[in-house]
Amino acid sequence: MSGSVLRLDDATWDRVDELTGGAASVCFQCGTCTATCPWGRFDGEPLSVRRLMRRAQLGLDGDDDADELYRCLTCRACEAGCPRGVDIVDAMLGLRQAAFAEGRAPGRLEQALWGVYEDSNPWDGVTSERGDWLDDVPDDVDVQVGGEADVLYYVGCAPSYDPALREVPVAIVRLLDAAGVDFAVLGNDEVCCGDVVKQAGEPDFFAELAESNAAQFTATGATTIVTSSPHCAETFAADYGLDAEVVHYTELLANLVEAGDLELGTLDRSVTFHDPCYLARGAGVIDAPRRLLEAAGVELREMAEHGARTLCCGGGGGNMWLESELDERFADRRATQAEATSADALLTACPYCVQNLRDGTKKVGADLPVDDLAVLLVEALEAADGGAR
Amino acid sequence: MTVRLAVLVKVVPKPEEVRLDEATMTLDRDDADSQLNPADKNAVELALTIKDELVAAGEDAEVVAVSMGPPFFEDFLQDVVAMGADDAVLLSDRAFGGADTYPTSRVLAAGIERLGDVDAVFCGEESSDSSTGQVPPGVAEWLGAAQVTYASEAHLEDGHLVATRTVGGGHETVRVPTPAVVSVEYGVNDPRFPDFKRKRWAKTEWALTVWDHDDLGLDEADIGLPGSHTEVVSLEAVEPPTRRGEWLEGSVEEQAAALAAVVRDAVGR
Amino acid sequence: MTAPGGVWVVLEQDDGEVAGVGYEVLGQATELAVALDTDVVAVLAGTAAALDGLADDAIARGADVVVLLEDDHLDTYRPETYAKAVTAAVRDGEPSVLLLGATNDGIDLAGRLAVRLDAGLTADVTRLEIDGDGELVGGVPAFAGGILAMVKATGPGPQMSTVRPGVFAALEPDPDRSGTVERVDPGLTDDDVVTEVLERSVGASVDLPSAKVVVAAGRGFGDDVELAERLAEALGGVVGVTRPLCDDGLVSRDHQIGTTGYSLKADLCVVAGVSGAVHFTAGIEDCGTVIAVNADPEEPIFEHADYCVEGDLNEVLPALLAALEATEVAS
Repeated sequence: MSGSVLRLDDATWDRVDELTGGAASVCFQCGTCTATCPWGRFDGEPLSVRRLMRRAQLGLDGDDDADELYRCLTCRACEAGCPRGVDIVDAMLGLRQAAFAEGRAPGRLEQALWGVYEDSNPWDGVTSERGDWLDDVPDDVDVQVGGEADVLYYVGCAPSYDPALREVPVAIVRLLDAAGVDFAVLGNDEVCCGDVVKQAGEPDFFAELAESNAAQFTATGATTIVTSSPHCAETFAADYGLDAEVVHYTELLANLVEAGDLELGTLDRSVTFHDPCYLARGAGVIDAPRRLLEAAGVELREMAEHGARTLCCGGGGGNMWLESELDERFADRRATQAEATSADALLTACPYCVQNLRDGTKKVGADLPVDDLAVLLVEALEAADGGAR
Repeated sequence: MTVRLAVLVKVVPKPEEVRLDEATMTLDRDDADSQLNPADKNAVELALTIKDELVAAGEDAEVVAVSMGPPFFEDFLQDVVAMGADDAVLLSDRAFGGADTYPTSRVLAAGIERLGDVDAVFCGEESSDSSTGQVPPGVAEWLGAAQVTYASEAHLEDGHLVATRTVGGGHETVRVPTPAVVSVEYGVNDPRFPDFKRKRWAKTEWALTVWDHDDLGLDEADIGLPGSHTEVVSLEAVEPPTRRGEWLEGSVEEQAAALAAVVRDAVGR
Repeated sequence: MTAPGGVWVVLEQDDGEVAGVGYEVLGQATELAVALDTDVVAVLAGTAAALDGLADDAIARGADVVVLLEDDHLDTYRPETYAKAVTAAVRDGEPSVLLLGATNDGIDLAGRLAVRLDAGLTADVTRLEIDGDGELVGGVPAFAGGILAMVKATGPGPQMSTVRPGVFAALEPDPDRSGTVERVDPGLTDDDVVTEVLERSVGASVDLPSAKVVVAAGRGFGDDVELAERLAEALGGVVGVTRPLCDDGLVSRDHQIGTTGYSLKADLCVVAGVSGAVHFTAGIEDCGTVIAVNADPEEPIFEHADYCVEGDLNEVLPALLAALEATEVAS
């Protein structure tokens, strides 16, 4: 490809247009998106969302545009500000399909896709070890692997394979069990949700993956699918065409607490909460984690840019696989903001956020433990038996 | 004249799934899932990159995958075609079974010769199962071709192949006449993901070419187990050493002091 | 010419520097030769200038006979010229055993020679013995070193092996050892040269397999291993790295530890910022003492360590440096 213009031919444009519901065509180039995009605060070269939208109308130009396209965190800060309600992220992902087809996707992302194809996960994990987190579940909790159940708990790749995240599915199953939920997990048969495939811009393997996973979920008979990660939840809800209801674990657990099915004790400490962008803006779930924190009796000290204004940790849009060259990364800023609250702990509810924020607190030297909310909730569960801690 | 680039591809068991039966001291690969040998994907990518460069420069070029193995390799060769290879040939015959690197390189070389007019042959530096690295230079010798092993990059110019290869402590750049056999280091590029639309075409419309030992004009005595020049006489389990696993606690300073003591003992000062 | 049936070792040399593995293999070859009641023959190929003095060194390190292949066409390694030269010597001397170091050039040459000589070739052996039938048995590691396959060469040609660096011990050079030197004409002409070497930059390479002290650095260092280098220097050792740091171009491949890199035999290995996947840990199993430093106590590296420190390497390693300086251990 010598210095060529990454041009959208008519067929591709029709597809992008269709994919985005004509989103790009209603953009009237006001530039609010560029001004809102958080990249502008971290990089001398801000992400010109407006320009990418314009290029979608005329044709993308060479490698630079592809790089910029993949920097997008798909955090939807731009969508929140867009006066026309343009589905900007849909347009970005449509453009990525054109980029991917021309071989312009970042190499590391393509390797992640090979991982999903060959080993059902993008993290070099071994399929026969995916369910190993089950070994950490206490003996008094019975976890059904396979078969049929009302609720399917979909664990996800990062929590299954990152030793530092295994405590998350262990916590979630303990909470589900305590609430008397009839649930099952897929164990070693669980396959990546395909979010990274979609973020890379590959639609055909994604369609096969979605079809095969959807059939597997349907076979469980579950009417509810609950996930550890807001990324998996978004992928299932948006692209799988499932009859079952898809929820993030914070929504399910908040409802169980309110229904009296899950009793939490109180913990004596202060926390701050980083809203995962896919949860707060993607799914519009902001209250559920807060209701849970309230139920656990902790003091919540809100950090800057919380709730719908949350600042992405830097892990969205496939960026978990891409190196950034920033002096201060998104997660570093979040860690600084969290530290400023003087809370005892920084909590969040997404595996990518946990990983990134742990890196961030180390980088800025903040003495602030980072945990997934589920882990704190298990402590609260234990406190329900033994009194406040 | 179309530039023809061949890529030798092997399908190997996923390493974590091969079991050692400690009672009989034999390897059980039967239930192991398979994958394309990782370094071969880098070789395919290099061949496709060279093809892209040639085509961009207005030349005709094609990439053909060649593999020696049983029929189930077909699925994986479809993936190589889906990555962009124009065609694939499977050298398949019961008589090829049990081969070590000697008859393997001979059979692969015969496949290349039957294919004909091959300008360069690419292969992964070694396979993840036997890890000898001996097949690429072996194939080159059978073909009487130039060889470049442990290459990280390569391109074609004026009937020659120019490549950079890794040598202990550094690297060198060499220029050899074609035909040449190039072994590609693992991890030197990002193998492109298969085009799944093309994969569907490969599954439904494309047909794999299969050659047996007669097609290659080879004698049964020279291939497979009978043609091998090595024999495994036994397998031994190697016990990893038992480590102390002692945690050094305390403040950073306390840990450092304890470490310094360990270091002193270890280096004998 | 030396009597047939000898144990031959091809010593790899670059500009007059013999690769360490060559003398290691020579050392083991002396034991094999005793078992076979035959001679140890070292083969050196290169220009006369490059080979000057190397025959004496080889004899001092255990060779009974040195076969010198001197020719200007052997000024740098090329598969075709070296294969032709060694073949000429082998056809002349009819060794029973032919060994090379399992370096990139060693494997490059051995793979070609094995086909030309109709020989069985075992790869990257970590054990070499003569069995009860007087035949060479090579121990070939498989499955990240968990299994050793004992393999024999059964071809008509010499029994060949490439030998993993850092496994066997070279003999201490003994200047009183005597041996003979034989020159063999490699029979090379300009027409034999096929490979044009445009550029070769070998530089100062690190010899991981022989290092007594290694600081192993992983992704935890980010893109800067300077701290590892300082610690290595203070300990009188060298830096080794995990695969990704080589893939990223941070250091050259001769620093790579693990199944696709080098195996260490160090007395002390300090591993920091490494998670400890099996393809890395296979490279440190033979180290005397292993210290692991990692911020995450769940990482598998700790199962392969004698001493475990949960901590930030950016704090622990400088503190260790300070502690070493304080006790004046640092060299």
